[in-house]
Amino acid sequence: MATVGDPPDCGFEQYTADVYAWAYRLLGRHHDALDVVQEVFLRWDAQCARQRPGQPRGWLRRVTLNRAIDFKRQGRLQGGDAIEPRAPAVPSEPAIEPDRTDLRRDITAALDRLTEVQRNVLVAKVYDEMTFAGIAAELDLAVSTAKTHYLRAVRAMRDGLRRRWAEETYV
Amino acid sequence: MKCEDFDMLMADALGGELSSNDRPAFDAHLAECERCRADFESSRRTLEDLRTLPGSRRVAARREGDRLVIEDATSIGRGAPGEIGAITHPTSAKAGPAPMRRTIARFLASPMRYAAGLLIAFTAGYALHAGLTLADASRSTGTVAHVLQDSGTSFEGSLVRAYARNPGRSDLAKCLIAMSSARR
Repeated sequence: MATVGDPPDCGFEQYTADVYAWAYRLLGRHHDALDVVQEVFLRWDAQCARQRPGQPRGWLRRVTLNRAIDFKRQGRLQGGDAIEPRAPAVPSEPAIEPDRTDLRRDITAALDRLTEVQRNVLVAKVYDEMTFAGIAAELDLAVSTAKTHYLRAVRAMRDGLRRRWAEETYV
Repeated sequence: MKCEDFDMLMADALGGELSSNDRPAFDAHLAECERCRADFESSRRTLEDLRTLPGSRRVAARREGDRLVIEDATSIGRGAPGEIGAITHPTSAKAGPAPMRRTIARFLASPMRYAAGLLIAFTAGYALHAGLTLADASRSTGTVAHVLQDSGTSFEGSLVRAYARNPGRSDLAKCLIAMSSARR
């Protein structure tokens, strides 16, 4: 039986895989992703102690992306974007390729410039492969609004990544 | 079709949700509008870039008391140790006495607060004792004054007599009795 001071049990474990995947996608390191999972876990429990979010997955995606971008931003400020791992690598963790690290950094920086809802819609569509109808329901938007956010997010990302392909024929 | 109207179709196409009914209109506008064609192509390429970011391994999580254990989902059920991380809830990590007891313990753990508490308790005790004694003394002042009426009126004399008569009383009460006697 739960007592005062016990962590609230709001079923975070059923979303942990998603939270980890979102964080890892942006950060590219197992231990960084775990740090973000921990922070999101604490925020989730704090939120649950007040009121459980109506759309848990949408709430978690938004908080996770924000935390991952903050994490990346802090790492950049501290010069922590180096390739070497901060903690011993987990067995079977794939090595981080420099190309991927650059791409991830550019994508994260471009995501940072999106609005919160644009970022949420884009990640839900591209990485979670949700439908516009599903995204709209999860974020409490009209379907046409979700599409508009998606299109604007894609265009903003394109502008953000344009520098990366400056030598190529990127329009 | 206007370019503004084409945006919704482009969102559908980029999101993989363009219906077969909308396909002809989409293709027709794309063929005739160079600006929208360039917009669509560059957006499509951007999405390809986004999708090249490798995802994580699939993980699963389970609670073990206060810990959230994260495992490699592929190792579950194979008998191999699959734990790749664990998170302990800080509320639980600090778990000790109940909140009220923790508050008291925190209060007592501070030397300054402890000293202040002692001082307040001592002062309050002394004031209470003095007050009770004074009340008692004021009740018996008449009797004492009567006994000492022919013993001189100097303060020192009254004080000595007050001591002699009431050795159990507090110094303050004796002083007050002596002052009263001397004034009279």
